[in-house]
Amino acid sequence: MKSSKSERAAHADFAHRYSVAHAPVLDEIERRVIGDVWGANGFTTAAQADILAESLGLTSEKRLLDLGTGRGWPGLYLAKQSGCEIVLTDLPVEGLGIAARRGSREHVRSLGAVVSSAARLPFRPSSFDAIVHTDVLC
Amino acid sequence: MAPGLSKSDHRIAVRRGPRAVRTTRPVGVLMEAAGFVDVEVTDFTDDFLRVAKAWEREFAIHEQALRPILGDEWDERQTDRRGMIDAIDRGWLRRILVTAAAPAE
Repeated sequence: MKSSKSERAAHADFAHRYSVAHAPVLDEIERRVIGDVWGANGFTTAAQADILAESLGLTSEKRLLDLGTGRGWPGLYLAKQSGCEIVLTDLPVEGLGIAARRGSREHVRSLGAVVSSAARLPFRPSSFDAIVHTDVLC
Repeated sequence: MAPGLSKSDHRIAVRRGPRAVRTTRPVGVLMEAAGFVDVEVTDFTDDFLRVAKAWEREFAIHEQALRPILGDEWDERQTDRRGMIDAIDRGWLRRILVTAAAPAE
């Protein structure tokens, strides 16, 4: 299946955004807006991520899929807070690379970062206990 | 997108909102139609507006430091945010948390 026009446009836009060099001022802004620093650029705050973790009952026994994770927000945060296993997916490989390196530094139980459209996921049914996607559909 | 918008307001809301959203049907209804159960919807529009304003304000405060990093993208992001803030203020854009469970197999 081919990517849609809007999917290709979003891919290009976010690939460009994730290729911007890291700068401390961006971290400072993110901390003030979101409440933590994970490379987020959307509207999900740390407080909302905590609500998600509670709603999904995330524990170290669970396996979580984060669709459209960007640079790993909020999947990596949820995995670090709960101890769950995490798989990250998105289209721009630039963001996934940043997420994979951050996951390694944070020692989260990351099972991988997969380049994939949410519409065509390469996983068997029932592979995950919970799925999140934030700031994808808003 | 807020429910019940006129066609013209809906078109504006689509332009100012997240690029993947065009539906005129509520997400919770779509999830139920797809077979999900225990669908719960919590409105986070107040937080949405607060966070959108915070991004716009912080980027304005730090413009001098951000311009060398972002170039013209600084203007594009601020224009997008201001359009989004206006659309939220007008009640055209909402933000919700939807939780649901997959049906038992």
